[in-house]
Amino acid sequence: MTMPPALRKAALAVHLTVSVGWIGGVVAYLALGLWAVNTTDDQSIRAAWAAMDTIGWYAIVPLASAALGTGLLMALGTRWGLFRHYWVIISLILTLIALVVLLLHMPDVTATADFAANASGDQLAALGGDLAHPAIGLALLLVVQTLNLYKPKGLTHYGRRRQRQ
Amino acid sequence: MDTPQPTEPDPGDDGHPIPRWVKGFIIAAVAAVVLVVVVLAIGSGGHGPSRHLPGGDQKTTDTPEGHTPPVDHG
Repeated sequence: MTMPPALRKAALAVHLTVSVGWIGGVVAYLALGLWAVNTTDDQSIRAAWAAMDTIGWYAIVPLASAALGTGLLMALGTRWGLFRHYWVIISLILTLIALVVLLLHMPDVTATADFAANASGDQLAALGGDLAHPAIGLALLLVVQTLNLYKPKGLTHYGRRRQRQ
Repeated sequence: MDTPQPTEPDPGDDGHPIPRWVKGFIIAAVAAVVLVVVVLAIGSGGHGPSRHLPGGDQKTTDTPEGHTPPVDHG
């Protein structure tokens, strides 16, 4: 079932918006993580963790979920399909990995933000930031973005079968 | 995913079941996963911000909110 062109354009606009928004949210989160690592001011560390918690739950998680949902819609609603092209499958797998790790990681961020809100100076200094997760996540998202832009050729076995039909 | 629809025959159809870029990608992905596993194994095992909290990397779901309780500074 392919979407009519007008609907496809609208869905693509939403997909691009939320996908790029996801990347932007991760960049903002990473900036806050760097701030939390580098600052020595207690209030700044508390503020950074509170902001990371808020951005995570209210921006990154919704945008990531929307990116997956609209990505599935774009795949299933166009002739690209979900399992016909390797780049689509790899994009889907990487997006799922990023989303699952994000959802597993966010409770840790909330716990740390809660802890930071009441922690003393030494404890705050030991908290550091959260750099590895957003950095690896950002790298994953950039790979997905590159795949989506360049669409490297390569049909799966299923895709070749569907093409012959 | 962009608007252009696939129309041309695909080079993956000419006797090469899996394109080279996919093989390269899989090798790179496996190497990255192995690297992460090794780094986690060499490290203390704990990762993520909660490693700094009391109780380390363990989830404290026994609290009503499922969060690590703040340290008592009194």
